[in-house]
Amino acid sequence: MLSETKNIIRKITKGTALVSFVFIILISALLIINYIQLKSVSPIENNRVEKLIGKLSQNPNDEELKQQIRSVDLMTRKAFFTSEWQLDIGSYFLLVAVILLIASVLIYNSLKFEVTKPEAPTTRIDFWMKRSNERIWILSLTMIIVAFVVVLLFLSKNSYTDFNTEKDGLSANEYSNTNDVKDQNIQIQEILKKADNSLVNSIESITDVYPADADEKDFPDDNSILSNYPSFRGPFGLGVSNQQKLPTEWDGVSGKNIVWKTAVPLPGYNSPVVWGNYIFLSGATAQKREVYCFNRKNGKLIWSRPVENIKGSPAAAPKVTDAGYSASTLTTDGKRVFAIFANGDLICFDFEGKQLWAKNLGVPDNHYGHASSLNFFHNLLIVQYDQNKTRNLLALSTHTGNVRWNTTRPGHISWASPIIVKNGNQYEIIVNNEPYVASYDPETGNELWKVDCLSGEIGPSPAYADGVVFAVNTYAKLTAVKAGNPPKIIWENEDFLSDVSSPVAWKDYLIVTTSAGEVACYNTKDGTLFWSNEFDIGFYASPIIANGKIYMMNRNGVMHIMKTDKKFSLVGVPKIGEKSDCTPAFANGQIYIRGQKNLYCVGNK
Amino acid sequence: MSKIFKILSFLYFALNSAVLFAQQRFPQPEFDNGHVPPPTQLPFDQGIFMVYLDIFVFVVLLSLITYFILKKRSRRFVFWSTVFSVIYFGFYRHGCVCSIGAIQNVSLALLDKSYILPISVIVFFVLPLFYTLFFGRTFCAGVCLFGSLQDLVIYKPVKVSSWIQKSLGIIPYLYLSLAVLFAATGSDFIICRYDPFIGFFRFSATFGMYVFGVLILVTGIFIARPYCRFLCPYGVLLNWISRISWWHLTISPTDCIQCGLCENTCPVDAIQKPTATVKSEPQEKGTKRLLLFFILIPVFMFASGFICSSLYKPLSMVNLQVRLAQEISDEILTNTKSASQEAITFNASGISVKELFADAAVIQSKIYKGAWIMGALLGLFLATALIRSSIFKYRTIYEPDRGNCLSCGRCYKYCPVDKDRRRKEKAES
Repeated sequence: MLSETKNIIRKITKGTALVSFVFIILISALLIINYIQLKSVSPIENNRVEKLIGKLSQNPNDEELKQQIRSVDLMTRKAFFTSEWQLDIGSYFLLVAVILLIASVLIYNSLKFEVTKPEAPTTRIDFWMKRSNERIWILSLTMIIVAFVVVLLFLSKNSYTDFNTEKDGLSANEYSNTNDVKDQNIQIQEILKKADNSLVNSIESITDVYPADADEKDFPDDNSILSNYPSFRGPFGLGVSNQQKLPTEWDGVSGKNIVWKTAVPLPGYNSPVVWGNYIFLSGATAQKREVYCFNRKNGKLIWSRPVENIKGSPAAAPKVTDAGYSASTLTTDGKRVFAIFANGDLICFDFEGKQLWAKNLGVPDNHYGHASSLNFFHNLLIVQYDQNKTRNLLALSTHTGNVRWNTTRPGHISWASPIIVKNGNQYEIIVNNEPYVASYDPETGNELWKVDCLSGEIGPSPAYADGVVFAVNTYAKLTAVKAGNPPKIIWENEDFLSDVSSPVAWKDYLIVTTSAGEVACYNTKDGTLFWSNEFDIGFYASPIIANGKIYMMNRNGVMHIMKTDKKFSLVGVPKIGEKSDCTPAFANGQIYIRGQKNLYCVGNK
Repeated sequence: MSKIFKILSFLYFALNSAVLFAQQRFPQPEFDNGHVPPPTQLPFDQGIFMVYLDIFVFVVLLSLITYFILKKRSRRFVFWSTVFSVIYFGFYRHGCVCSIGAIQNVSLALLDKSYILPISVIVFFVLPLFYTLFFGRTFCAGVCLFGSLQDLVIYKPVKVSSWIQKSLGIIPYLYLSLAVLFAATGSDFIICRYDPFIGFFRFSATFGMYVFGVLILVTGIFIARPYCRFLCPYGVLLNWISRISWWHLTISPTDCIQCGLCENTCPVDAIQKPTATVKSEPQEKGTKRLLLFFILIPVFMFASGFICSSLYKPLSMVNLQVRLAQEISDEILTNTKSASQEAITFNASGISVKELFADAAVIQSKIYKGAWIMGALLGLFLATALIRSSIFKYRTIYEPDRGNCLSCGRCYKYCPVDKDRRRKEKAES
């Protein structure tokens, strides 16, 4: 009876094992096919979608094409996630089948008990023969491994670099501190030399420093600067204009208070700069770069100059993303205008459009594209040339383009712009950088002070008022630093942090706008919040304080005008009717706004 | 007792409540199209509790299996222990921590003082060694996750010739040496990276690792426990210690009657036959050979050390930092643009090439020295293996090879003495 039951169980388990085995084979095959399919379908890199997107860029208003892209994208994603789900479920089925198979086999085996016949007693020859074989095979396998190693060594002879100079008598400490790696390691020496060359290659043309010529004393005084709008965020780059009687109402669509409107030939995120009757802009694409001079009174294009044939300029433009090819705002000293582009071309024209000098600073290694704007101090053009590999603050002669000083700075790349401040009797260049805000002597480029208070990818430039520097960046904090040596952090705040637009400070008020549409007004003295407000559309353009009001333009080209007050008080929300990320310029009682395609002059008609 | 319970409960909830106050590193994005992001789901922090539970389960299981193997001579318990181990340590705890991988943590902790060794790692590493010293490899029988999984698939184990076993027995030494070298220099945890079974437990692995795991299990149907015998680096340590274990499993509960019925029952070929009928070699020949191997020990050690140390450049490529330095070096030499994400990130980091090369040099230097030590030890192992195969041990009974026996207990039921014991016990009960 017991034997019969055993037989039945054995038959059942044998059958189960067979079925499980077949099932395992089948599901394994299906899973492998599914896995291969899953590998070939990527919802992110879909050629078909990319082709359709390419088509769309030629015809951006094709709604049918947009719908097709959405459908294809959805289908690809569905296919991907369905395959993933099938893989998950299949794995569970496989697991269950394997468990069944193992259990069946174990039960099946447990019901049979076989004892094998013992072997003959080990003889002398058997024993020692076996031992001898063991030794031979141990040595044989060792020799195979050694042969493999020798072949590997031979094949990899020139594939790997020997960084290990310690082996050659040079400690790691010496290695990192010395400029001249010892002769023992020629390979490393060559690579490092080449690396050093490649690091300085991008600023090769500016490594030589020249003294100033006697006839370079020609530069505007502070009053002339203050009555114009020569740089990004106005005089000295501080975001404060002394203009009066500025308009607070206009409408780009109906033409209300629009004095003139002119198309700008090439795109660019740089903002207008104004000196006398001249307005300067630049524009660029991957193929060409241009500098424009407009008549301030009627908006007519006075001259347009291509930027080309510059020694060292690369044949192809570098790959840029968010910043585009001409994000840096120009600067003018009243006689010359200076422009810089994403490929490192730096050029100077006089007001008649005659090229005075030009040079290429080397293609910037910058993943978004170079965006720091130019500024000037006396007869020096100040260039914040931050790259992934090197960070340089340069002062070039405004007359000749020769380098007066070149300060290499530690830290990481930034997209902020330098500002010029007068702290007591000392002029200072203030620069935001990751992880610090620092001050430099404009005469020598020497660092005056530095405070570590920033982190992340720094877009906003510093603000300054009454001896206090304000530095901010998203994912960092807003820090007020009493300028001087040593500098002193007087307050910090983390509530409202801008990532693109720069803050502005005037008297007791510090304004911060964010790309999420938030606006906050702090007390510059202690960091207390006077007010804050949240708008629907974010701000990329920097706020400007003029005529006792704050002018902040959102990304849709809608200006938000507020009283500079301890309470939130909105004066108006005029719009140009065109999107804009450029900071407006203020001069001669008018406001100059660069939209996506046009330059507007707004004034009281 | 109740007070202690209250204090422990308070401590437990206090430690685990930290997660409730955790803040998001980055603020959530706001969507213009009205999409409301779902509330953040915070996983229940099992941390400290599960660590102690793992240790508790590990200690209890190891103690129980040791008791049932040595005292009760129960193969059945070993079987259920393997099942439990696969379910708990494998599918529930996803195969981590494991004693095999713990070698790496311990190696790293020995050289890197800043690395704090978790208590679970200490227990998982030390306890099996301690138990093996006293009771043989009971850990391998049914607590080790790797061993348990392979044990369950043994179906028709074939006998592997001793020359294959001995020659392939070099591989675990090599694997152990490399694992220690890479872990101690902070380069990589290769045991974990090339864990063939973790993919099954986590339902996630590369295709190559799945194939590797399946191959081992399929091989394991006919060649029992291939990973344990020809790869396991922890097995090397257990093998040494088990040789001097105080109380090891025996095939027969009392005196062996030399019936030979157990001879082919061991799936891992760890039963040693009596050698009473074997005549010893001529003394002069044996002595000369032994002497030669003893003289060759320093030669083997130096040669092996030299060979391994000359491999330090390819070996150091396992380290991420060196790999990055190599990529940057190639980039500079060939004047090409960085391709990998690591190189792009490095170029954006502002760290100078010289600093990177200096770091790479430090690691290469460590690997160079480590490779010398590793090579010398491998040379020593090789000489030891040759010496062991030249020594004759007089044996009158069938007994397990203490180093290689995994204490699975499969041999029990083939022993007529044991059968008699069980019959008597049954009759008494």
